[in-house]
Amino acid sequence: MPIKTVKELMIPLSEYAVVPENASLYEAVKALNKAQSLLKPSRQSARAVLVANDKNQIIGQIEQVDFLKALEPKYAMLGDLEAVSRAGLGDEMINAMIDNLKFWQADVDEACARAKMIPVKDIMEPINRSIDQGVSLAEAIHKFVIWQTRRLPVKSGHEIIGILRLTDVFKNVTDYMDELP
Amino acid sequence: MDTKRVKDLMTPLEGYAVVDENATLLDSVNALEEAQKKLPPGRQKHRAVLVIDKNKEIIGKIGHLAFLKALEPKYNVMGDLKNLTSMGVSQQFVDSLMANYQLFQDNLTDLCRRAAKLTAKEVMHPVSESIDENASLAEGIHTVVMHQSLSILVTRKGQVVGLLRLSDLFEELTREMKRLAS
Repeated sequence: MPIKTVKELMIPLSEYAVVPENASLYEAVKALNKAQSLLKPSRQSARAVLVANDKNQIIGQIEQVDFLKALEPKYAMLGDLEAVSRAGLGDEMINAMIDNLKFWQADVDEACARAKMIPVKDIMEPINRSIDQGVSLAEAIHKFVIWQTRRLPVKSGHEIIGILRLTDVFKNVTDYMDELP
Repeated sequence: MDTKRVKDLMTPLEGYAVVDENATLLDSVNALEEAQKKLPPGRQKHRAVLVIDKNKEIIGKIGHLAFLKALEPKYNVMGDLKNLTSMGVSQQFVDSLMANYQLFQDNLTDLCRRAAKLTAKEVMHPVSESIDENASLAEGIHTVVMHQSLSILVTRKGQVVGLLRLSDLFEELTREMKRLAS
């Protein structure tokens, strides 16, 4: 298995789950399932949905953790959860959020039932990082490592044409490593 | 669904890739491949390897990012990359790091050959996040969300017995959403 280029490894936009910004969380789940069924069996499973504006420009993405987060509206008051998490959280504080701040007081079933009413634009992460389709795989790996991200939008000029996933880069590099003499 | 507990969704430790702290990175990759083959059909693939010490205690985890970071030894001199990321580094700054530290100057073949011999202990990041197997599903979701982690350890009387994975929580909840919508 040779080392592939960014363009060879990326998932083209046409094979990715994309929903309009006014779609609901539930519609995003359905789009993800559909994209999953279209993925080649050799590919790792799809775990994110892209969000497009009315000009068909990709403006955001929703990862699995965003879906879960969206079911409890109180997470919104915490601001940047990634930053909160990186600051280091003890079990006591996590439990106190349930006991004292009353997170997750509604049944999980009730939270799931709200999925049809949550617009994706309210929960998406805006896209503000990307790589060019012509960069080397080493440069792409560097950006995954520094940005601590699992997906990188790939651009041709100013247009996003696909998504490079950490999991596909990992698979390519480990297959290559395994076959080295 | 609200009667479900963390233990109903967790992946038991036996089904996970576990390597000794002195195993090589290549051994870890192979252990991950073997664990994928044992996964029941329909389950999401594993994305990490657990690392144990000589007392068989779980001390760390190697995910995809840790693996790729191991390819370039110069990242070790750059300190805590997570803190760097949380500062919100710009595209320009990221490019300048690559140029100034002369990262990835060796070709990927040489980097892969060197990294394959690293030990799991050198590459792993420590894990401490855990949840009791009898915790509710809501508590499981909350803990995964707050740690922004792909998986957390599940314990029974303080002993690790499995992992609760974000992907399995996601599948369970989306199944429920579809059931409610039908």
